[in-house]
Amino acid sequence: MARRADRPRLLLPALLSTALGTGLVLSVLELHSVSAGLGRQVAEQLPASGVSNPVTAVLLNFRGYDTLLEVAVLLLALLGAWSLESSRRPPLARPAPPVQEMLTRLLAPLLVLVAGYLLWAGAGAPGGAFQAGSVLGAAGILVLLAGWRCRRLAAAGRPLAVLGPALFLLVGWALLLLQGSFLDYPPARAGLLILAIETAAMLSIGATLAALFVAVLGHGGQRP
Amino acid sequence: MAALNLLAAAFDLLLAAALVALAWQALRSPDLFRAIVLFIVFGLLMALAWVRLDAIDVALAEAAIGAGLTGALLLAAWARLQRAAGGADGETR
Amino acid sequence: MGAAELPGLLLLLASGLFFLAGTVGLLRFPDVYTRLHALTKADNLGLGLLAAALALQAQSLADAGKLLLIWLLVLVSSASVSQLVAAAARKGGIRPWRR
Repeated sequence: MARRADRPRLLLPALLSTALGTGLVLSVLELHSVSAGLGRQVAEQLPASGVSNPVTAVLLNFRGYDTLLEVAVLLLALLGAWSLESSRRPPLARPAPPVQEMLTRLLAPLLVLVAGYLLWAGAGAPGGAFQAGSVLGAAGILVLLAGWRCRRLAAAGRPLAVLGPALFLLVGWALLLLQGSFLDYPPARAGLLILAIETAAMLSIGATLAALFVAVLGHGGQRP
Repeated sequence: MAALNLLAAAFDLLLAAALVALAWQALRSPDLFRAIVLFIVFGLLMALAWVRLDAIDVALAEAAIGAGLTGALLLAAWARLQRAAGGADGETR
Repeated sequence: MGAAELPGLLLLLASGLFFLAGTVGLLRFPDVYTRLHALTKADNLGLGLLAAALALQAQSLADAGKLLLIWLLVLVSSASVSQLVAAAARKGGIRPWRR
């Protein structure tokens, strides 16, 4: 527990956290008497959004601008990590123990498959670009930990990380030029556009997360 | 069934208490490695909480990113700190 | 709550017992290696019984197959990871507990 000398310093954060917690609990208890937010409007506009999962519709269509900013924030985080860490390439390959090798050989392709499925199913069921991208990132980390070196994939890291925000921006600008409104999908093409943006975002998120792991890992104890 | 509602409420209460207890333990743990492991477990329980709130997408994302990827990043950072400190002394704070 | 649900219920109870045994083992065993035994053996068997109980209530054969696949995946990954943890503990110098 807290050391005696720490107690006065911890008093203010403890008070503030208790106040915040109490405020949150009170506001959640208050929610029961308030009507359901925008659920009805989302359900009404769902057929025109291009997908049948309301979460994906809100993320990629109704509030697409927010998702664009989120994907850009991921890129910013990667830039931040790269500005602190000089090594861009994973540590030198060392042979992994056989058990880890077998596990990676089994899981890496399976994870790629699951990522693809999550991306595809995100249109109608829980899933989507972020979940698929994080599964891809996990596959990348597995491969890195097993010491596999794939030079082409490592070289594709930077372009892949940029692909997501770039495609999102391009679609927005193209729609701005053609229609006069940024990121306003025409309902006939909405499904296709969402799929394209989500695919680029998935690849981007996977590459960014794996690159973040490489940056945090550093030289892995071996000087190149 | 009223009994099922009672069971669900008890489960939710237990989950909430476990989340708060885990967060407290993770923040006040003197050992960094233990704090990271507790944070990963916190992420998993948080994913359960999202499922109980009927937000499956968020639960998937929380399990994959919050528990899995952030855990891996934190452990990599911890390993790097160990290497930088020489790993000889026991000071992990 | 018909008699058709009884096997599922029994499987669920058995799975709960195995998970409980695994947790008790995790808390009470003296060192890392014995705790890994409790985690992988008892918990995986509990998960298998849980998957069987859910498969009985599955809507289609595909769903039951997916549950079986989940169990097999957890088996493989938890067994491999526990071996890796034990190897790392051995390399880190942790000695097995002796009476």
